[in-house]
Amino acid sequence: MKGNSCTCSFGGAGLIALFFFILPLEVFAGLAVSPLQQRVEVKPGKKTTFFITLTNNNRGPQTQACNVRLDILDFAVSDDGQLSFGEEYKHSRSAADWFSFENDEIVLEPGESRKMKATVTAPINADGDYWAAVMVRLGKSEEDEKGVQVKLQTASGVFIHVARRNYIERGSVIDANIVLPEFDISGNLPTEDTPEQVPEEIRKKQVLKIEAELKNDGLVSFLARGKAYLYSAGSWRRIATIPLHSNRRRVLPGDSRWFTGVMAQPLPAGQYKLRTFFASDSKYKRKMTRDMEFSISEDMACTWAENFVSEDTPTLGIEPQHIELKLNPGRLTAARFQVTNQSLGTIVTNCRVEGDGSHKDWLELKTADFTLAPKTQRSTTCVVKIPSDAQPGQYNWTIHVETERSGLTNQEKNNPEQYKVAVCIVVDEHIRVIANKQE
Amino acid sequence: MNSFAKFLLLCVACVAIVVLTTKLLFAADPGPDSATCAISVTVDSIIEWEGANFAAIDLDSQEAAISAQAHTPEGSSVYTLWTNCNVALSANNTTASQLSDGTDTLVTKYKMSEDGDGEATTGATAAAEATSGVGSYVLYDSFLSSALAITHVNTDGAVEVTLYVEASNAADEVSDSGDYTAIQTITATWVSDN
Repeated sequence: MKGNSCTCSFGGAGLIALFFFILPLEVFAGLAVSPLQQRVEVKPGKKTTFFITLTNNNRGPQTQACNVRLDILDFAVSDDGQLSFGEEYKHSRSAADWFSFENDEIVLEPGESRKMKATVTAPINADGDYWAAVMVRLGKSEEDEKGVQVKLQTASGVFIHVARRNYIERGSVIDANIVLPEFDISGNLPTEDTPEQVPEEIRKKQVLKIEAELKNDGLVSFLARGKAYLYSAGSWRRIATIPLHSNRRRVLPGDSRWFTGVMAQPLPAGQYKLRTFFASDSKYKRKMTRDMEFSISEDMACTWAENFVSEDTPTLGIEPQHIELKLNPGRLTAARFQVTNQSLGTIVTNCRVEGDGSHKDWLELKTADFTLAPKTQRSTTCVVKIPSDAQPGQYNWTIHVETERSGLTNQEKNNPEQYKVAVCIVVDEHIRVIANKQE
Repeated sequence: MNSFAKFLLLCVACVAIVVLTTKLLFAADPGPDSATCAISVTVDSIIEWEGANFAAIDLDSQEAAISAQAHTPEGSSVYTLWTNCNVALSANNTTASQLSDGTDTLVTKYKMSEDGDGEATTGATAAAEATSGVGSYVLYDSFLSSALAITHVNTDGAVEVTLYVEASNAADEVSDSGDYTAIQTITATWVSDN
């Protein structure tokens, strides 16, 4: 026995040695940051607070403590929506000096989560929107490490609204372009390819592209919604609608942003007028429009029509089309569905929830409307909040997804298409049964 | 307080303990009780970086030290990006990300790959990769200068991101001998504000 136990202990020691010295010892560290952007309201000369949650998720025994540093940085958004961070991007509406964290350097143990509190003080003369970013940096700097040190960081945008009054959203379309479809110079297809076989990269160029640059001339940011309407030159009769898309629809004061609309459907030869216009959610806004003219030659119209492939697939792909959840009373959770623009044109989508009258407010869409570039997708979040006094049972809703695709319109109407996502929530009876017994 | 008062106080305390304990001891079974617990969860956008060690990419140990003019060692490191929303990845394009020994430099190129396709799984679409040009080695000052868009796909909350680095001597030159270091910073940012 003694010999056996000795053998065992040697074996165990050997295994431990193998584990530590021969097998690679991997320790993990990670950091979750939430939210990625937030809007903070504060009155002039007053203080308020906001939070950023940092979590070092425990993903097993190898998880190690994580050093975190928070830096407040200025950032700029380029006209194509790219973000750049750093002191060199300081601007007149910077909020970088307005807020600070109680701790800007912490160590998060495995499994630990902390809400980092920041206090914002708005100057007395502040007016409108201001912004800065919190750069959350992981790990410690190792001075003597050879090779390439990799620093991982996550930016969280902080948008501060200093409300003095009602603001009028002021914007103007400062530039616009019409890009006509590009075809092979000969105007003919390669002999071996039918229009259906033409690679998607080439088909993406065989479209009408509208580009419009919108500038925010006001003091507050706005979420811009843009469209281009196409009219026959003589009569101002609307013949096509083209939704305009940008990766970042929110245009900050002083910034400008390019929006692009794409239409694959061919136009007949002729003269056209084009009106690009933008709107926003606000009650207080001004029209932002720009008119242009262009023409399609007989040759162009002919080639375009020959190369055009009518798409049989629906404009939108939605996954899943049924959402089923089993939840307890009092539960707050989120369900998501993916919306894919399967067309070669831009689309605008509006979502609304319809359900049993009294339970309609249990479901809320985080984003009710959005635009999608051709062949792109986005996730749409539906927040589900079950009241704590909800009766057990099955509840049904329908999320109506209405899409307007770019293309020729009939009788001056838009091109709406309807889709549905069925939501079925079963409120779990388990807790209620015990409660009923007691009653 | 005299000793009698102390004795009296002690007696009262003892009686109280006995009465209360007996009451608890012989009390009827309260039976099952219901507890209502409101469970809530924050539904915010989240980005989480996760990696092993976060050690530097040591080209010497991953491949070999540069021992010839034409030798171009490569190294890589893998990170997991957990997310529930679309994100964009950008890199530092300053000279900090160029391998340097303090006086001389090496031609430093980077590229990036991820294990998703942005359609069925969370990752970058082919179009996004082409726009940002991450698929092939580019010089440090243009690497990810156009951010890489990572598209989140429902039910797939993670994407594995691999960062590659390649070092080489400039054409017709040999860099000074020594240890070369660089710092590459990868930033994850919010994308959509719809």
